[in-house]
Amino acid sequence: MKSSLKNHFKKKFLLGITLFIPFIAQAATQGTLGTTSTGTLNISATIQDLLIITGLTDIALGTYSGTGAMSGSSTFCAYRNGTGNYSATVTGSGGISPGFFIKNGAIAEIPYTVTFTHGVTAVAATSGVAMGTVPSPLSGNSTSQTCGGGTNGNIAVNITQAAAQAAPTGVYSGLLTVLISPL
Amino acid sequence: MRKAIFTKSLKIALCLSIFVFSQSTFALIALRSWDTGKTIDFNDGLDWPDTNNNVSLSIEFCVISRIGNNTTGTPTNYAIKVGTVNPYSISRGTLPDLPISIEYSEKPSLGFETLTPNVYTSQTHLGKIRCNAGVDPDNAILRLSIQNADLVAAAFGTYTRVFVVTVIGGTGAETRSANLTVRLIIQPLMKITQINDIIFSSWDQINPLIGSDTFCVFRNGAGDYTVNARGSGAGFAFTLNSGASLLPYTLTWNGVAMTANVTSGPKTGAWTVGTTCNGGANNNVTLALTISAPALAAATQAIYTGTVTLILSPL
Repeated sequence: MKSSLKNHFKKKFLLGITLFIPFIAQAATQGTLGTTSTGTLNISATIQDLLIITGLTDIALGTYSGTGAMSGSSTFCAYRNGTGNYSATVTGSGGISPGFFIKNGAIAEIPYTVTFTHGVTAVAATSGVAMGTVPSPLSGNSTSQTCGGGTNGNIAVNITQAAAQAAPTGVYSGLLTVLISPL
Repeated sequence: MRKAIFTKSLKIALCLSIFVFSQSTFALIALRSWDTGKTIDFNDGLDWPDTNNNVSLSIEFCVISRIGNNTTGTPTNYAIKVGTVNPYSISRGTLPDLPISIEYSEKPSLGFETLTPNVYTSQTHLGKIRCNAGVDPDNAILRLSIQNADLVAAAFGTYTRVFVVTVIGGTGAETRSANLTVRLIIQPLMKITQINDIIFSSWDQINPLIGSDTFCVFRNGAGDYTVNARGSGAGFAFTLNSGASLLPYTLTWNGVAMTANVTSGPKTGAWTVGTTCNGGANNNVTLALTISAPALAAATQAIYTGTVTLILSPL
């Protein structure tokens, strides 16, 4: 029987591209000398797609009991300014091997799987591979950056019983990075 | 709309004459219609100033210079001068004088010559034997001009000067003089220049977005002014827009918050020497525009544009 496992997933969120690009449709107009004088200036701002994923929490799988799989999850809120879909890319920090692994230093690693759910549709993620419009559509919340205190997605990790039982004793940890991008 | 050129003609009908007897004949030099003085008003009935042009005023009159009577006499030459101050100017108390130029020409054939203060022209201008009003056309004209640059540089107020017009002729020694009062009212004027569009280059996704422009507010002479700022939103609201999507902003004028389409209280510190604050070196007003971070974060992705109109009025 394997010793206890204490697994920690740490996650971070990435904010989508945010840039203001100068844009001047026409030049300011200067006033003329008179009993009143009027001048005008133009203002312009380009707001590109803005996204933010919030509400993520670390996933602590606890100590392995010796039987069954180990699983945990975190809900989140994905926001996009305005209408439009987004794509998600979930990347594991890797163990000795790249991908969805948690590791115990350089000694051992345990593979895990990730299921990304937006709304009610779940899809198995491949580390570092954009999910595109799968599940389609992935529409973010466009009215509140925090989904009004709620959530609209879930990310779940799972370690199979076989993988857990095969793992040497130790504390395993890894990092999941979730990148959301506008479509 | 102001008139492109301000030119007026005035005819003055009075008669002033000198009778000089020279043996069997007599000579006469006279300025018709002028010996009681006349006020020439540059502003008379017109929306002055036309700030893009010089202003000028022409005064036509009749000069008698003859030997003999008004039916059988012989016309003789005369000379004319205009005096009082050198150089010619009109004055507003202790403020700097406003330069003015005076030219003279015979009529109807025009050939203006610039007069030198208190200096006669050559005595080569042919007078008339009579100047009966309504019968004998004018034969002389004075043209008074003020350069646009001098007008623009002058402080507001009422400028006046009494000039003395003198002719000499007849037998060659007789003179007649008359007063000519020139008046010009310059209203309080303003000009806003050195304005630039406000450009946003980046946003740190945390702090409000603040853009500003510093420009020149000129007033011709000391005094306060007001400003009315109008955005391009509904009811002149301070909003940028992309279609129906709005992005609100706030404005400050030298640090003081502005309300859309509400005339401000008195503003001080207008530049009074040259209309462009030395080409911007002495710009005196900073307009700051702020878009709050929540407004930015909540805005739909788009290109937002808007216009701020600033209307200045002297107090």
